[in-house]
Amino acid sequence: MRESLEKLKSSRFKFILALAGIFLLIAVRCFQLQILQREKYLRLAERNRTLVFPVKAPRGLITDREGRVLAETRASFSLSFVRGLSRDPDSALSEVSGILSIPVQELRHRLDNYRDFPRLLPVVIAENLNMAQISRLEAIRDKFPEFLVEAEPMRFYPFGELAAHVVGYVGEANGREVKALGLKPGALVGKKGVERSYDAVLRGKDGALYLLRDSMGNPIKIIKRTPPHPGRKLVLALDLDIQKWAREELQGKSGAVVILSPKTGEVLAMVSSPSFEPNLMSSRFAGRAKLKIMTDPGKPLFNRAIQGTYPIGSIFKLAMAVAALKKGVVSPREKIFCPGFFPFGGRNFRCWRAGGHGWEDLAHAIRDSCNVYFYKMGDRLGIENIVDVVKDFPFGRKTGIDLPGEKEGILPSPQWKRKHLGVGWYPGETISLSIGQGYFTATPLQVATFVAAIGNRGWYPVPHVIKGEKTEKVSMEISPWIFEAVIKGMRLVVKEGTGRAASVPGISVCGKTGTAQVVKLEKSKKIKPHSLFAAIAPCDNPEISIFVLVEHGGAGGETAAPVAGRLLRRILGEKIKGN
Amino acid sequence: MRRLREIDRWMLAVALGLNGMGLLGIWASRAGPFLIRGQVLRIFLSLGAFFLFSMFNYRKLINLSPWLYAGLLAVLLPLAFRGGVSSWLKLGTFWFQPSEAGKFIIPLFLVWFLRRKYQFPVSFKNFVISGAIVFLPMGLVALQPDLGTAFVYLAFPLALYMVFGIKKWMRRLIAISAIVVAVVGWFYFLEDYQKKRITSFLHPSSDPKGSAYQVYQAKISIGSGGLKGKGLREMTQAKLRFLPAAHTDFIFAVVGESFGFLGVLVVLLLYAMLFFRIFSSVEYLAEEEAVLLVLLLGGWLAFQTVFNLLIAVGLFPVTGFPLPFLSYGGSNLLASYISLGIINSTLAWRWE
Repeated sequence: MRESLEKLKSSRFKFILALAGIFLLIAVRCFQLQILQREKYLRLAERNRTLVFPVKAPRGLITDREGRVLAETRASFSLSFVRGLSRDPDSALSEVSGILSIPVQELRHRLDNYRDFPRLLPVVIAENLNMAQISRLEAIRDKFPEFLVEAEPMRFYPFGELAAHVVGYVGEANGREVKALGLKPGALVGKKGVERSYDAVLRGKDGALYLLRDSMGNPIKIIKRTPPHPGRKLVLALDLDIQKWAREELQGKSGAVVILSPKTGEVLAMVSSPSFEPNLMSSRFAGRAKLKIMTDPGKPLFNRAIQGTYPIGSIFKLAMAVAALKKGVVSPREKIFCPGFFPFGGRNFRCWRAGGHGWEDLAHAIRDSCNVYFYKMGDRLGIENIVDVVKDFPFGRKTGIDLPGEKEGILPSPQWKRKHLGVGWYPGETISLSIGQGYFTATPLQVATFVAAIGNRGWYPVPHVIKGEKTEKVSMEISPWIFEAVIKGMRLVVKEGTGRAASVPGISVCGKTGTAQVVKLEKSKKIKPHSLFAAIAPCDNPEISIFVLVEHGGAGGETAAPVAGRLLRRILGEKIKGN
Repeated sequence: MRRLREIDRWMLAVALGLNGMGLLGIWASRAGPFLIRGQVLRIFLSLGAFFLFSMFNYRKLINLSPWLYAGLLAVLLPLAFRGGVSSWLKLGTFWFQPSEAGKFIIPLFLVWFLRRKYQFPVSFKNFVISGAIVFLPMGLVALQPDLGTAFVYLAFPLALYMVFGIKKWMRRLIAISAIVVAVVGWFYFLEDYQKKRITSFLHPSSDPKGSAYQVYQAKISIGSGGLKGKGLREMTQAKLRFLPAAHTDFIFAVVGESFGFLGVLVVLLLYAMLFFRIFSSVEYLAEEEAVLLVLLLGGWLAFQTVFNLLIAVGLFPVTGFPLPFLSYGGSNLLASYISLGIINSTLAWRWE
């Protein structure tokens, strides 16, 4: 028995030794952490107690050329919810639902959109609070610390629908934009128009405030301050008066008006109708109203001026005239007989006037928009020659305007047809193209730029919506006399032809009407063609180039030309003369 | 009263000193100030238990131990199968963790079973039965699931091994069964969050914000304390709630931050003194039962202390259990003081 007692007793040394070893190990480890690596852990502890407050950079103003504000940033109060601070989100939401008069489900839905964001990030659940709501919300803050009432800069568009397609609107950055632009979740970013194409200029750069907290969590000192760089102001070339007149003309209609300064490429007006309310689109919520805009069959979000591609009808005859003169297949004085039809490839291509125009030279053929004259030009030129000249005009490619989403339109050629339709070119298609029928389409902006090129006698500017941008000229290497001959015809169009409604007393206007057949699958319905009119004024030294498109407006001289006429009279009477 | 004079005053003084450090740490952590009064009350109650058990003849306690052990199993059994996370039992107005009582009942019962059949190395029969005595309640506690406390029960087989030693083939058996338990446990019993703690310990960079977060923040707390510490007012880690469970399982990190390396040394020194007193007190005992009892009771206190510290300094994966005498809370404090009381009882009653 004594032996086992001794053995038991002696085992205590093992315990003591083992413990001594481990305690030494722990002491050495603490020495390592606290003495050797102290700096590192001190820095990490400092970082733990550092608060970062973003300081938002105000977004730049957008004004028209006279300084009238088209987009501004206003202070607004919004309610945020911090999920990480909420014990019982359901009861918290139902508490504020009454104050905001927004159903609980809607609030929950708004929160759900941010499911993947950090839980301590405040999520805005209501905007534009009024004073009564703010005071009632402050009263429940004690009970529900998860709510934050924050002043927040909100984008506001004082003129609403007026220039909505050019100005565009902002919205919260989506996941892709957050990554691509290096933004914070929830940051505002331009979604359409200038807001989007000049987003980087307008946005500026957010600053930040780095605060150190004391042991009770209160901020005690500012360690670092990076000031915000405010977004720059953007002055558009747009003249709000002209924009307003143009919009009034299209009220209740579908269509587009583009007015350029042909010397500088400045866009003085760009209207696409119907328009939309940008203040609704830039709201975080208003989901139903937004959806209504997005699914409207009239496609109000669609900027017809740069995204709509239309057949341009007889306006294409101007391009044909330039091509024929340049290739030397006709002289301005040569007279061609129009019997009312043109037999080609075993069928008769008809003139719009059944009895024919008789003998006509180029200027009169343009005045009368004689089909037969241009059928013959097409026949003489051949498709390759047509494309060779017309491709120098801004057709079939983007003009390069500083707006997002511009479309190219189509300048058909045998190569184009083989590539896109997989079949060869028929000679008859050359004849159709000669009067603007077939595959050819262009955007209203392209047509306005095209007539500017004619008015400038051989060069055109790259259009832009920003005022004072250096003009980028595209030269075409076509002799001025060719354009003089075409302009002579365009002058007759307005003087005594289909475009008489566009004349302005005392000022020479040159134009061309167009009537674009609209092909629809439902045969039963008779649909009116699109009504088009393109013009430059004054003819000798153009200050304005204009293109008007009224969808289903009938003949070009019937709807579009009077619209252009009224606009030109106002612009030339009140604007250009006054300058 | 005569017995009270036999109490080891050093042991008691060191334990009280640790209590004092613990109160400072609890006060310093933000949750603390309101909890101080309750903790002081718990310390007094536990001290009462300490004196009670010091004066009570440990031999009678050993004789009673089969009943205590049966009672322990009877209480743990329903808790293990009640479902949900439930290691607490209401006793009057106190919530109590019965698994803590196992820490002194299991040693008593082990001594009751092993007395008069001490063999070096341990016989196969003793090996199996004493193993069962520990692993039965340990399994029940693990099922609650309270893996932290179950882990501390491992102190008993370890202590028995250190005292008696085992034959080579048994060692192999243990090694193999340990592997089997580890594998089976990993695939069938451990919850995902518990697995994550282990993997994140092995690869700290794999999940800096998840389970490694606690250890990471504990290291920041301790490391940023430096030599002299930031003082109770200036410490931020626990107050700004970066350090989780600051006043309970990670109280050592609070001490490290507010009192620095010097404070850490004081705490380590106090524990070293405590365990040195406990284990060297064996020298004065004249009875095998008493010696074994002291080694087992001191064993779990030392085991729990050492592993809590290793976790806090980032040398062992996280499981949750308090630091004896220092952490906030009652159950463990009571079990610690009762164990200390029984140790003192072996000293007070050694001549009879």
